[in-house]
Amino acid sequence: MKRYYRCFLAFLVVLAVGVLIYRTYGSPAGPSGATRQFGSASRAPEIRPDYSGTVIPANIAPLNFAVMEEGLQYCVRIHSLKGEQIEVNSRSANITIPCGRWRRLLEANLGQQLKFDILVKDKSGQWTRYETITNTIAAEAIDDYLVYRRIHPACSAWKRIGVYQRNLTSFDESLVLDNRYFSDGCLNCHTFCNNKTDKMLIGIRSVDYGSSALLVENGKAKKIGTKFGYTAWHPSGRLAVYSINQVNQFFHSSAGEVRDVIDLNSLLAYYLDGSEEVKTSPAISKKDRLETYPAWSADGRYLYFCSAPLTWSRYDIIPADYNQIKYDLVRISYDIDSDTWGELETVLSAADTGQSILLPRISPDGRWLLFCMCDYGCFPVYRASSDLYMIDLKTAGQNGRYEYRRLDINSDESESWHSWSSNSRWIAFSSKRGGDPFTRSYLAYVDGQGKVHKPFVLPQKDPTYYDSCLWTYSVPELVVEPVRAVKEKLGRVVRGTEQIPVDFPVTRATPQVPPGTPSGAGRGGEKPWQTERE
Amino acid sequence: MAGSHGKSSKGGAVAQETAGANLNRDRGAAIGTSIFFLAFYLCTWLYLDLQVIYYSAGMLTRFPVFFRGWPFFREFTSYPGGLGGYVAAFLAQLFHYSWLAAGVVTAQALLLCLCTGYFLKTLGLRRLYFLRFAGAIVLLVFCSQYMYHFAMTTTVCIALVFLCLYLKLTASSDEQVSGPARRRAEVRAGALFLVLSVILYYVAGGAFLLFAALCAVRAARRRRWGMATLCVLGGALIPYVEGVLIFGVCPEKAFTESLPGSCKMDFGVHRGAGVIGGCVVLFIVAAGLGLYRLKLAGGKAARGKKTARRKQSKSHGGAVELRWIVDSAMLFAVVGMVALLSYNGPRGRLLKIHCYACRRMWPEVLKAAGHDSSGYFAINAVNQALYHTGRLGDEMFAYPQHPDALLLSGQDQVLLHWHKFDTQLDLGLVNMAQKNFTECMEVYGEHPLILKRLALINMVKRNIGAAKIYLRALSKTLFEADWARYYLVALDTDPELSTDRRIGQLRSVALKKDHSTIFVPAELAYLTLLEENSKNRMAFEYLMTLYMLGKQVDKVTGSFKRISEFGDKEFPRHYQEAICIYAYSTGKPVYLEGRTLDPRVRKEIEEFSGIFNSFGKNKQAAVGPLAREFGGTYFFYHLFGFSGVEK
Repeated sequence: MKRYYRCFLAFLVVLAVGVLIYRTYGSPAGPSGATRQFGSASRAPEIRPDYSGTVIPANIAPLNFAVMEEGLQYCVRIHSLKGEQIEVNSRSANITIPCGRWRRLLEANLGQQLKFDILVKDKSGQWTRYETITNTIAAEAIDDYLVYRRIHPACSAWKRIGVYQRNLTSFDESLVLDNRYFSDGCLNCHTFCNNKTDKMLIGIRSVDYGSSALLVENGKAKKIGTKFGYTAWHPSGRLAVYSINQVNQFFHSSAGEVRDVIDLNSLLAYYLDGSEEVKTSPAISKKDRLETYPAWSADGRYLYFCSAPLTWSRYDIIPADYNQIKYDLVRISYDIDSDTWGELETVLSAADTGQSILLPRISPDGRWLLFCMCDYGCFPVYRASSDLYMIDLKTAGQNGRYEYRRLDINSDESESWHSWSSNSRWIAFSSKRGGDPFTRSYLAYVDGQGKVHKPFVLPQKDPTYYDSCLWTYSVPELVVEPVRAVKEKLGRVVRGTEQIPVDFPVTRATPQVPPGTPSGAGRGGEKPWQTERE
Repeated sequence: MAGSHGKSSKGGAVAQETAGANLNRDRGAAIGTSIFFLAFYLCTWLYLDLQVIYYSAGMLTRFPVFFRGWPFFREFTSYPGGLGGYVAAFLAQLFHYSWLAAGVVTAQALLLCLCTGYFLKTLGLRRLYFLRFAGAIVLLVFCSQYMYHFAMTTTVCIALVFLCLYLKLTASSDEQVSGPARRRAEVRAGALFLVLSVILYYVAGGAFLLFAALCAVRAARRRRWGMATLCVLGGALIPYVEGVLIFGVCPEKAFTESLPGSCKMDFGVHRGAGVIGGCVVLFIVAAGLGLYRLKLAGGKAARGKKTARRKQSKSHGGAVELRWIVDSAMLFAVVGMVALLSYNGPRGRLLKIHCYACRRMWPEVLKAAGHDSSGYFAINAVNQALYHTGRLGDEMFAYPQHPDALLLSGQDQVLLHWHKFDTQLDLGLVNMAQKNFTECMEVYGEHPLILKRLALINMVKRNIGAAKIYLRALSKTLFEADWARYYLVALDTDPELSTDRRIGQLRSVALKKDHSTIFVPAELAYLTLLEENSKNRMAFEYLMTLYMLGKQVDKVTGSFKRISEFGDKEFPRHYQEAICIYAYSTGKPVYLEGRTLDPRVRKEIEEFSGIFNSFGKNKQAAVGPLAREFGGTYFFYHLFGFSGVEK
């Protein structure tokens, strides 16, 4: 009896504590009465992240935010033309929107405006209503997944480098592969074919296991015995063009961005998936040029890439005029059936733009060419001057002129690492607008006329997440499905000795490798502290 | 009846006496334990000064970070052993204060002692009761070695607490000797084991294996083979099922999370510590066995004199006291030996230097370093301390010096000893400091010391966005939050921080002209800094120091004119000595910018030359006498190439 009495007492205590916690932290009641009874602020409230005046996809996770106005209680009403209004009442300034109701509201209002009414209760108990924040729900969905690299800002010692995937419809993030699976090596340049994950490449560098490219095809992982740099799959999936870069990192003694990168040598090569062989062509591996950042046209008939003159003979020192290196945007035709390359043509020259043209990416519908331009060099994420630009390829095809325009979405900091969604309506890109060196992933809507609307940062469950987040998120790639390969399995393949041997026809980009040695594949060939890039 | 009554009263008296003896023994043990842990606390607080572990500046690679708030906590809930790691990470932050650090370690040692004692008691191994101190002694070894194994010891403590809970809850089942009652009790014990195992594995990860092993030992000792088998199987299967299948961790990690293999503790760096630890354990066992034999002999002797002792209860109490004193003395002797043998003095000293240098406690740096710390990092800290106390030009040769230790750039990628990057920041080499601290953060995690410096650097560079990110992260730490909050408010009111003296001073000396290489020869770095700001006193003093260390007295003399920038009427002794050497060796006059040489310096160089000449300019023969008289002068360094010899 005594025992039951004790249990009952314990139950009562737990209940009392529960009620206390609920009273303290539970949702408070929102303001009641007509709107006219509230005080009115003749301005929009400040919210962080800035989710105002933007276009969002209907399948995006709730845009949780923090109200940056002082108050004791907060009420946010989210509504549109149709569907049930969502009301969030909170004693905290952090607004967490219920996922299911958010989804239903957005799906019911495609193409409509989505409004946020924000009310704040002050110390005197008076509610103040701010001007409504309005966003637009796009008619087109964004691809469900975003794959990115999450690293520390320095990334010099190859610690904690990981490729992660984020389900954009929720807040689920999962690891695709990180370097703990192969003794703290480096992994980068994850590349997909046609926004799908059934063909994926990840570049690997490791002191213990050498350099390789991890090819994941239909769930099976293979190791290719050479290092792939920036890679682009041909839309047919039959080949992947990649760059080989002799990368050198150096540091500025007093510039805003400490780090900088130069390719002392580079060329393009391609891997034929069927025959498992590597080739190159003189046109894409010129002795006097630096070729990098390949990108295929949507129909696979042209390879776009960046090219700069190589004016030095020593490959072990940073040339004095490093800040004069500027890349042109060129293209070359290709016939996949006969494996023949055509003539090079300049799309946009650095001499005309006065800037270095980098990272071309063509929308899957073939209409838009999105790229970066910065003051010099090959690595836009380290250049605050790097901005996003666009060319309308359809118009260019009609009048023969590649007219480019700077996008309105740029900031004073670096914008780079952009990718397209499979429906060509969304772009993901990296920006340091929140504070260099912290790169974050942004999403932006591209309408039918090529106008890129105000971007929004990838939403997080905790709206204050980015405020103190010490990670950088780079190379965001939109894909329609999750990467299904298991990380342990990928790790085993990297650690394994089995690999597709590659006999590379030229060794120019890596001149220190003796002929006959698979480039960069040797154990101990790669070490941290040499070069690494965000 | 009367006889029986008499017998029973006699038996009762014996029982009472035994109970009394047990009580005495327990009381004695409690007093002994209390004294032991009081001594333990005082030793770890005052002698070992464990706060240096918090400021270990990369020497302990696994020192955890801790942030307040749910998001950080949630990260630890996603894998087995995470909660134990969270608790350890929290407790590790308490190392910020020496007295708290000692308290935490002592509490952990006490917990290990009590749990081990309880386990031995329930096993009926009272004679091995002294082994309860083994865990505490191992902890003391870790502390004396200045090693960080807190995550492991925390999870082991948790496992032992669970073990005691299990033993306590199943104590009644041991009384059932046969029949269905025993079977029921066994089933209950088995179920309890499984429930506790599942919880414990989630909380403490691999340390659960210790729990399973000790449960199996206990079951085997009671000849409950079914239960023992269950414990062994549980130990093998629960990590796999819970860790691999439910939490999705890889099999290797599932069995080793929170254990040394998983922690990657720095045994590799300090292999000697492992050896010493092993020796210590052997020593404990040997001492324990000796004690055991002593007790056995004492017991036999006592049995022989049983009747006599019964008659002399007072003298019996005296024997117990004597034994208690002997036991305690042996225990303290063992612990003392262990502490003495395992104490890593040089490491402790280096950690102290770093601790004080990171906190900019310059007099303490000099005190900790003494006049015989000759490692590059210690020299670097000593010079930093001498500069900040205005004594670099007067006293630097009273300490060991080396030209390469003056400015450690980080180009060698040795990211230990973070105070050396503070030197870069103080000088004005802001980008170099930023690069190094950012790499430190990558390698060692978001330690508050690193976050604080990166926030400062970004504020100096007016990179407000990044500064706020570092500050907000720092505001979630336990002990640097006030500093961070102060600057967050200050940035909101004045993003320029125009009234902040430290920021203003750092901005005034910061290198402004950009070059494509951050690692330039030290001389060039100082000259560039002085070219941009001729009032950069630290760059000037370091330049002069560099020249003196390189025995470039002509350059010392040549750069001397820069001293006018600082308006000093006096000029440091070592500069005077260098100028004297130049003037004496070249015979050229030196313009002293309106200053005069101290007559004592003139006298000293003459005396120095006199002694040296009296030995026929034989350096080997003259070194002793010159060191005695002029060990702390530049004359001595210039001639012999080393310094820091006692006067």
